[in-house]
Amino acid sequence: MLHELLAQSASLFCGRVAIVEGNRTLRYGELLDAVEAMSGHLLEWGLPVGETVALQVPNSIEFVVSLFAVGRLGATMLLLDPALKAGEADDYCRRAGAGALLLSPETPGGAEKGGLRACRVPPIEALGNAARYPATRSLAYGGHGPVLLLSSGTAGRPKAVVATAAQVGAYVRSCDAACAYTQEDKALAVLPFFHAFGLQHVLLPALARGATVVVASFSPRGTAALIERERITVLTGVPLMFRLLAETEFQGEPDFSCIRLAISGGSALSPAVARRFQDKYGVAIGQSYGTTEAGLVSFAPPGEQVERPGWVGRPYPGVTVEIRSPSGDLLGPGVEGEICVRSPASTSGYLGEPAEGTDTFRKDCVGTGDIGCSDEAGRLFLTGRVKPMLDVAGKKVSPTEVEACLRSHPSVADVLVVGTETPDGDERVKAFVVPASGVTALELQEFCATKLAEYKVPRQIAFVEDLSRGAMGKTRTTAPDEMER
Amino acid sequence: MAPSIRDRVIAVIVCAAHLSPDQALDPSTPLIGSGISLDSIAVLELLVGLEREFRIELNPDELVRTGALKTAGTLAQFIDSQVKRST
Repeated sequence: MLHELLAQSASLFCGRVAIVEGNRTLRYGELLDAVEAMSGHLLEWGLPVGETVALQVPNSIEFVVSLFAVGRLGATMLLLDPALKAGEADDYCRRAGAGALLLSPETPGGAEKGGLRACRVPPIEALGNAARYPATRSLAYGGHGPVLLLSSGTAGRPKAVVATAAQVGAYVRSCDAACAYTQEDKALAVLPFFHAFGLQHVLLPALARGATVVVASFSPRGTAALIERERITVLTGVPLMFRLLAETEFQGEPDFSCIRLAISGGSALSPAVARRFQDKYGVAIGQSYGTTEAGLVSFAPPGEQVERPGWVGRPYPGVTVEIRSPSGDLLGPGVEGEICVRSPASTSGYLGEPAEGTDTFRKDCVGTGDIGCSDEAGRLFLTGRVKPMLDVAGKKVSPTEVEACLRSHPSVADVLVVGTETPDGDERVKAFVVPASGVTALELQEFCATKLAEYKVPRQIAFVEDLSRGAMGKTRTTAPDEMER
Repeated sequence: MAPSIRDRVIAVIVCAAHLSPDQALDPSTPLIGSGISLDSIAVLELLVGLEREFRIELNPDELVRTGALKTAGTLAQFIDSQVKRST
């Protein structure tokens, strides 16, 4: 699907600009050439064609070229968060049976120590012309393997979700129904491409329609300046980005009139943030709701305001949303239950687990792990979660994983990890620790940061004598007695 | 007596990173890479928090390039110089 998408766009939009990153610009025809050259480079390096290849590269032209090159070579690709520590990346690679790891020159190394072959992806300017690599031309394209996307799982340690080429294609088509990218669009890509939302809601649908993808890292002033300078037409972000843009004071208010579509996803957008952003910039924010496992679920167009919290729109075309009881019975309008999805964009299952019959992947649907209800008009509302899963600015964190890390510290006798809500309605990781010996919060934070990506490190650590409710005071929904459900 | 810039910077760090108010944070505490190990989200929140507290504009690249985010103390020094520059 990836290679077909690029080949078609390169033929339709050859001379148009595909990607902008800083002062580097790549046209569609040049992108296809760079992919052929990168494929050749990876073949010469000894990329194990037909095996799984892990990609741990931050958003960049090199990420895009490597992604399509790995697809071109027919490999299954495992997309890793560049923020993952070497141990975390190595764990994913081992469980996915990855034969090689592609890193950016800046990614901290370490995975090589685990015996995995690692290749530093060169800047495309160093690759030279595709004609230099005859091996690629002689290699027939036979379709690419699945894309493996990271998921924090529903409990326990993180997992990889298997998205086939057909499922990735269905996700991109769903997105197209809402975003309707055209070759006149400039899509700002500040969301990470290793994540389903950044990959399938920004990069792929924009490239499929000949739009220009502007790659940048997010900072409120930098992003605001970029939106004005590049005349960005589609802005896709997580709620935190919209909040920070709304909170930043400018000497002269930036002109966002170029934006035709602003979409928030990854976690629930509070009506207050949406209002502040619209008041400041005159741009209404739509919402796209989905999960890595289930694919895109529902869309709330920007103009449609619903004051009731948790509103995430109506199901995407081709997506059937059902609200189910814990025993699997269908529930009617207004009744809360788990949001379950049947969609061609739903993924096949977790790598190494049965394709169905798990908590998430059931016989006839995929459970989102979110609690919600629909109304008579078919509008969907989120109200909670089935399993304790923390949401740090759109990145999902399994409390069990953080607990396991803290428990491995010799001074920790017992631990409970919960979400703590910030005044802005965001969530951060908090740990209640029963110490076995003297230890400080800072020591435990430093310990976690050697093993876990920083966003998983508890921001707050409270020392308690035991993990009873009385000792911990009021916590969020993940108190021990409720976690047993 | 008005709180020093250092105390105000530490208060912003505690607030922006959502640390426990009782967590000891001194000028030698590392902010990124070790110590409280702020992630990229927390750094952005810190940036916005400092801009509001001190009514200044900060360039995230400059913060990284100058090593201002190394510790709470280096960040306080950097903010001090920015405040003086803007007045």
